[in-house]
Amino acid sequence: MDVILISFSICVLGVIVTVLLFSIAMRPGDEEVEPSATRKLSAPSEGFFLEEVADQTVGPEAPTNSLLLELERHVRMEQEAAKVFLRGPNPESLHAPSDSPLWH
Amino acid sequence: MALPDWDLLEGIPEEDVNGVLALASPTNLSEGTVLFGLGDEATDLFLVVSGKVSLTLPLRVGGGHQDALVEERLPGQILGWSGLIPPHRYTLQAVASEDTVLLGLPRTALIELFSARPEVGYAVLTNVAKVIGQRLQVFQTMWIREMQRVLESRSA
Repeated sequence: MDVILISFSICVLGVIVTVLLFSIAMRPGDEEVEPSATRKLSAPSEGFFLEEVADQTVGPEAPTNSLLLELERHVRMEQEAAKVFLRGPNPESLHAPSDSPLWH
Repeated sequence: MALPDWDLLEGIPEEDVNGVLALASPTNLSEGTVLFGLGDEATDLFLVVSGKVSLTLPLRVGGGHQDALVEERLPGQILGWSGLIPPHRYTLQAVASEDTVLLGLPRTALIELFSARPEVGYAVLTNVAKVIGQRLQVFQTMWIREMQRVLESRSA
């Protein structure tokens, strides 16, 4: 009798373990967990970046003014470079980069 | 105040220079003052005595406009040649970028002088053509340099 009960218990345990393993193996979307996890990881990072960009534009005057100053410097340097070219026109002096940061 | 050598009056006999300058009225601009706006009727030609004038055009920035520097005018240089050349509309905005003194030459007075003294008119307009030609060459060069810059940035 004991042997029969032990055997029955082992069989029941085996069935339970098999069902559990089968249900884990067949859980839908297991393979998609990783990509969605990746998306979840990348989404916050995009949001973080956008927040950083938004933070930079909190005072829109500052970047605009700095860009305009950079353009002013560029115009002055390019005018000087153009005058140098006109004093001795040749292809090299025509396209010689100025020190303007916009060239680099 | 010592007057600079005027590019407008280069090669013109002194008595004729004095004749032109006799038509001029001094204008004092404090820093930031707008001398003329884009599209304004061009009634005067100006000579820069001292200081500096920025010529700007509007750039569209974030739904608004910001003035971007195009050229600067320094002592001895002419400013506002649209005052002499039809259709007599200023094509840039002129702003004193520091305290500046100018001489304003009204078109009507200049035309009267040129009618009475065609040789003066010829000499002045030749100088205007020379100045415009030099600036055109500078801008042609700047334009092709910008094209080169765009090309290099695209191919980088």
